[in-house]
Amino acid sequence: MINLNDDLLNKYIDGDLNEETLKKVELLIESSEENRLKYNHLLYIHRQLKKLEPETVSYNFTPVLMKSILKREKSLKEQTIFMYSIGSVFALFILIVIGVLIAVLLNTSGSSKPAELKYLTDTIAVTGKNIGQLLKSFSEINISVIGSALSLFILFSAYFFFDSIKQVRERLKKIN
Amino acid sequence: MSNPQMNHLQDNEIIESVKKGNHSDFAILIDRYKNRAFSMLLRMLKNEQEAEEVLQDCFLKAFNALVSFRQEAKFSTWFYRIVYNTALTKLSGKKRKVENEMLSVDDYTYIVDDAGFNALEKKDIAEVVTKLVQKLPPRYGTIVNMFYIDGMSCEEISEVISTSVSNVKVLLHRSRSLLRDILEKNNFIEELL
Repeated sequence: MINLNDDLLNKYIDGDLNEETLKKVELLIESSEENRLKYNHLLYIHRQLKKLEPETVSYNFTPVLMKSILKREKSLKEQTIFMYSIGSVFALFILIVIGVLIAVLLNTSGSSKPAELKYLTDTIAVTGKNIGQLLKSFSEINISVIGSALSLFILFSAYFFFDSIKQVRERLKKIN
Repeated sequence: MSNPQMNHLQDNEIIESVKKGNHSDFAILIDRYKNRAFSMLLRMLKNEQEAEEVLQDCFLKAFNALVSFRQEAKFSTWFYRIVYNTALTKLSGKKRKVENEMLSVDDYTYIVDDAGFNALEKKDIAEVVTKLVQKLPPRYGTIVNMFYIDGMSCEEISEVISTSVSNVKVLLHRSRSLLRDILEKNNFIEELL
């Protein structure tokens, strides 16, 4: 004989019993008023819980959240574009330097130097000379233009750097 | 904000659209899950403002992780897992105890007091049950919420809270029995039956 406990009744309500146990439980429920009451009370709770309605968030939840998501996406896109443009400028600069070096090497390769070591020292000397000339071109009027561009670049970088720090801080604040 | 013609679409179709760059379509998913997820958070955190803040975080997390969502599981299960884990983190941060064992009905006299049973009419049984569920310990309240409000199966719930199906059933049965005991103790049920 099985004992009609809450576990069995809950399983009976959920339809989790096999046919044999199910029949036994049904018999037990019908056999006593106490068991019937026990079952009815649990079934009543089950039916009441089924009627539960979800709570509602504030009415402007979706637009406010979407606004912040889209704003964040836009800012991320801008940061990516900025990083790519900075990268492109650097790549261009490096390419120019490499180009100049290659040109220098090609020019110097025409002069015939028998010893390999001699050739290498000459090349280094010529490259140094050319770099010196290149640096000279940054002097006087040019330096102010380059300086301004560099300042602008530093300003932009600093803005995005502090902006990202701010965002990280806000996120950490939220997590805490 | 979102295209109203898309409201009838399945979750996976909306996700594909968002992945393609139609970010505003994410609003449909927000509208679809915000109230149910909010209910779940409310059962866990017991504070409306906190629940809404955490819900915002959860949607942001989901949006950021949407690219990596492979649709092997249902979006709802995946999203509720984010919600549940974020709420747990919040609770652990506050050093609140996430109970493992259900206490007896006698340990829940505070629920009865808090729910203000005396002020409620016997006919307001739905309100009484809602208040009682809100006062249940976080894990139990969450399971009741997912099972009855979200209509999730025990298997899906087990995936969300990372436990076995049998454990989910045990927790669900205990919640049901406890609610019945509280209502019986306060003579709510017998008068209604």
